[in-house]
Amino acid sequence: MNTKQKYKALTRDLMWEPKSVDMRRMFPLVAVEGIHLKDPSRWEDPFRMTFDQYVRIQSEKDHLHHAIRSAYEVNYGHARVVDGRWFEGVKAFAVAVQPAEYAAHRLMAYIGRNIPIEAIRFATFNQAVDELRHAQIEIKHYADMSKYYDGLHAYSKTNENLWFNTVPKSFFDDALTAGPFEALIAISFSFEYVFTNILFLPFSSSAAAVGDEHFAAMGKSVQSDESRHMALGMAALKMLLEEDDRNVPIVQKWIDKWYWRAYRIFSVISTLVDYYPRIRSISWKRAFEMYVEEQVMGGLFRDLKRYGIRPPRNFEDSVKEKEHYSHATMRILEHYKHANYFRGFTLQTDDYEWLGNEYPNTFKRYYEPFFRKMDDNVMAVAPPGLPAVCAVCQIPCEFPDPDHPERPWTQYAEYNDKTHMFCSPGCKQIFLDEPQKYQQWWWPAESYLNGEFGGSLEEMFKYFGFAPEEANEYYTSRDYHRWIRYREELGLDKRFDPKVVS
Amino acid sequence: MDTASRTLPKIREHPWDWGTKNEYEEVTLREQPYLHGHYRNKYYKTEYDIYDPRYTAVRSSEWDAFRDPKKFWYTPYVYNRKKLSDQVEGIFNRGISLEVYSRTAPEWVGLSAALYIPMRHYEYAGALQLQHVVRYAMGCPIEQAATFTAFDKQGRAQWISLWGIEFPGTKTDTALEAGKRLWMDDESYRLIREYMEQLLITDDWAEVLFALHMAIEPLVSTLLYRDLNQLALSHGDIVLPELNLVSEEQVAWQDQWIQKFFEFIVLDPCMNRWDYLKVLGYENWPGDYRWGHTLTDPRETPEDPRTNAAIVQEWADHWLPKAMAAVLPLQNLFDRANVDFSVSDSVIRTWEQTIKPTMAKLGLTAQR
Repeated sequence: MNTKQKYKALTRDLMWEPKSVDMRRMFPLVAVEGIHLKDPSRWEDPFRMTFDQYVRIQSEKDHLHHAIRSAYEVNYGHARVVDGRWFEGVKAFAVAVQPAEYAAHRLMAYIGRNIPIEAIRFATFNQAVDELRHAQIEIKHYADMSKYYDGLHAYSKTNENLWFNTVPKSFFDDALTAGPFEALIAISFSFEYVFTNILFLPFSSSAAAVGDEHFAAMGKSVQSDESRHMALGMAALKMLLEEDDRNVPIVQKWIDKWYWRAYRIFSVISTLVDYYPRIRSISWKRAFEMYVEEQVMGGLFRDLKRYGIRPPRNFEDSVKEKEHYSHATMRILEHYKHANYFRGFTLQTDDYEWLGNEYPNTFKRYYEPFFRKMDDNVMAVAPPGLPAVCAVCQIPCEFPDPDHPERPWTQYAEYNDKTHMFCSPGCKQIFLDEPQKYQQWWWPAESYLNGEFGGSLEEMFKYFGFAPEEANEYYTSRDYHRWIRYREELGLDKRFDPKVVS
Repeated sequence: MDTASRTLPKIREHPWDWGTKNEYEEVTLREQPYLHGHYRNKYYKTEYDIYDPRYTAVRSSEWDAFRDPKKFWYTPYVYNRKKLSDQVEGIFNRGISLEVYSRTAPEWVGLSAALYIPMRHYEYAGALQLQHVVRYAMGCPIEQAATFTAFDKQGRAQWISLWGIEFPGTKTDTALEAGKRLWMDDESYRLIREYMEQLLITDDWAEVLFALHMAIEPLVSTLLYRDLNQLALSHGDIVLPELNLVSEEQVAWQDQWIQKFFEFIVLDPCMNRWDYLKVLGYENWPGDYRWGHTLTDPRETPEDPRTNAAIVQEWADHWLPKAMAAVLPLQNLFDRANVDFSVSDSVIRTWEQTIKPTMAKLGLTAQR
């Protein structure tokens, strides 16, 4: 037997047609979404990986990763980056992406249990275990950071209760409560295939550029698993499309929904690319063009045309938004930075210069005046009240209409005697397709007004899992002063002129 | 002073506000969110939250307080399993080089194939239903152990398959096909197959753990991975007993955490399914508000009047006799091969030495 045959023998035909119970009781969710399967057994697992191969490859990867992590920790790598404000971005990643990895772990187990196709199940279960890996190697890093910096010490409470976390959490909660095939397309295709490159690659290269070797290594180590997950996403999509023509419109609807859903949670990633690193490797706009427009839309969706699949409904909107996305999102983060666990910051001269050069059509005209307001007073842009947030993506409704950047893009819809608000046409359409579901979204402001967060601001922050001093602006913060002190302690404050040698 | 040896002042000794004693706890505790899931399931138990205590009948005063005795998290787990996997590779390679099976008694070759190869389906079905546990169990400490157990079971299903191809088989998958026919159609396997089919439609995740790991697993794994070793050796087979030793190492850990899990549940006097919120600091949680209406009000959820112990006892009364009955017919396979071995002796020994004492430790009874 060759390797392929052997792999097949090891991993297939392990399940059977039950005799004492009805197959539909065993897999009760297989038909609920209207997906038709004819002969899914012919489908091939894209990444033939046995248990033995998995534990060998992964233990090698982990050995390497933890060696880098330990070196970083003992040598206080955090004090050696070019600017400590980078870690405010890492904090965003820590408390938003890390719990998302964990949610994906539970989700992949759900998919594998409920889709009666062994090849898919094998790949999804490997991925379920991978996602646990990502959650844990990431949290291991933040555990060390938390000993030196603010904002992380109650990360799971923050994840449970804070407004900011409702954004990634509602995305994964949406998939966790969907049917198994939709969840598969949501995560394996829309999230993994379309977007993980842009999640891990630009941010990792920024990490390398600013000198955060640990994060750079972690990004790459995680991404090495993602390539497997992307292959699964592609294969799963093709399988559903090839199984039955009736699946095509269903899958198209999911692609439409989850493209925009995934794109919206990446709003914060755009600020981690354009704003937080003092030395940037690439701009969001350029990364979006490279990873999404060229690779995914130019390559992939051209291939999918023959199945009758067209690009996602609001794809053009995301293209139009690329010159606004990071700035509009950073503006939102600056608005509410006094109630967030990662800080905003006053832009420096070199930031204005870089942003102006990279975004000649938009930054100076629409966004620079806003950021300039903070030059003298870091709280100058703080609004007095609570933000109105989008009923789907849960980001404050503060995105400009990319066709008319002076106007808000905010949309409205009536449902069940209530007016619902949305950040964009993409989110509005998603709501209208499943209003029953989206009217259940949890809005922290409502819980706050109902008294669930306690009666005082102090109690509210306790519920959030951090103190007011851990929020706000970076260069006026205690974390900045700590970082300076760590550098002095290590002698990193000394300056040498490389041009002068005796 | 040499700057490299300087120690930077820390702002806190322990990374998280909840106390952690080791790496395992650092990366495991509070991983799962307990409140404020956004939507209800669209198709399954549509009234429950994403992580909801009502997916099982038993309650805990602190779901996050469970600890895996081996403290496995991802990295130590894959390190450890890599060692086992290397051992298995070595066992198979040596077995092939020594041509062990050309000197093994033919009746044992046939019998061992008939006994082990169908069990790949047993292991796989267990792994499948453990994925249900991984999704619905409360808290990372519990589901994490279930995750690795499911992965182990997939691994064992593959080891058995590989063994079936390389050794008693013809280096093709015909041995696996024959194994599947036995599993599906042979009377010796009917009850065990039906047991697994019943397991696969069991919704309560803690009951799944009981049915799989407290009832049938001790009987099957002791028989397969321990009690047959001497018999195999006496027929000249040194491959299978060595493979069994590796499998048994996995099983020993599974038994350990499962027993700890049921102690954790049965000895918890908690009668209110929302009690665990207190330890998390959510004692005043008013239920899930959505636009002035409450999706879940803990005060209005009817409580089960039975204690955890009584619930687990009911599971025991249901599953233990079925498990005993399911394994006994495997005797047919020995009789057909004319090999002298008593399945019932093995099963009764496991019952007396493992199942009964484990249940007694929990203050429960075991009826067969």
